[in-house]
Amino acid sequence: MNPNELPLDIQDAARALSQFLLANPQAKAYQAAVIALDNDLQASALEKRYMDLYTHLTARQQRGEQLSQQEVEPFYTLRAEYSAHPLVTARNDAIGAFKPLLAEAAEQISAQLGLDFTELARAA
Amino acid sequence: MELSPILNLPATHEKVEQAAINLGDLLREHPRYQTYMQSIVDLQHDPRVKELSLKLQTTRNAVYGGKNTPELSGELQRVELELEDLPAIQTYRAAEEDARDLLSAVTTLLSETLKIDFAANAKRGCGCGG
Repeated sequence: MNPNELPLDIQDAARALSQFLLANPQAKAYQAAVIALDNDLQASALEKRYMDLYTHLTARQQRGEQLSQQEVEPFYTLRAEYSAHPLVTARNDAIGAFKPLLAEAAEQISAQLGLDFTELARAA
Repeated sequence: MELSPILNLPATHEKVEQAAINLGDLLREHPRYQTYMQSIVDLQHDPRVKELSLKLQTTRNAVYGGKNTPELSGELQRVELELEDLPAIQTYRAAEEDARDLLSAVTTLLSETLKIDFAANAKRGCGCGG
């Protein structure tokens, strides 16, 4: 189902929840960290290179291919560089600070539904 | 007198809670959710489902409890297939898929507006990083 196909009252309620979440300092810090990372050409290029290589290697593994040490080593090097980048670290820290608020919202929804809201939604 | 942590919450925190409750209430009233819940109740009251579930459990216990034989493995597979073929199970699976589709659309909308994968990140961390 496309989100636009949801009943309007549910769409409105979801957007209202998002707006209240975004009003929190943790959300503002997260958004600022995302913008800072996106605006830094070197950091965003590094992230793209890391994600591309990660996607490529995991796809090959999932096809049952054995990856050689020569192929894996550059990935580890890139991962170390990516993980240590200050803007990446800042963005990941900001996600970490934002997560409890997201979890709390999800738990409230789950409590109303009597089931794990995100767990069922994720399996789609 | 010291206020409890709940009373000290900032207004935005309370609004998040109220908005989440409101969204949950609306989802609970949606026909897809209602159908899914009814399918669970129907499963719990279906005698054939109960009978085969018990048989499945017993067979699994035998297979994974060190008493496995080719016959038992075959029996396990047969019971699993028979259970999945029951109308009540098929109704439940279809209702679950519909409910999943509904909830997934909601998390997609939340993710789009928040610019973060809501379903993946709305989990309590283990405190071990990552």
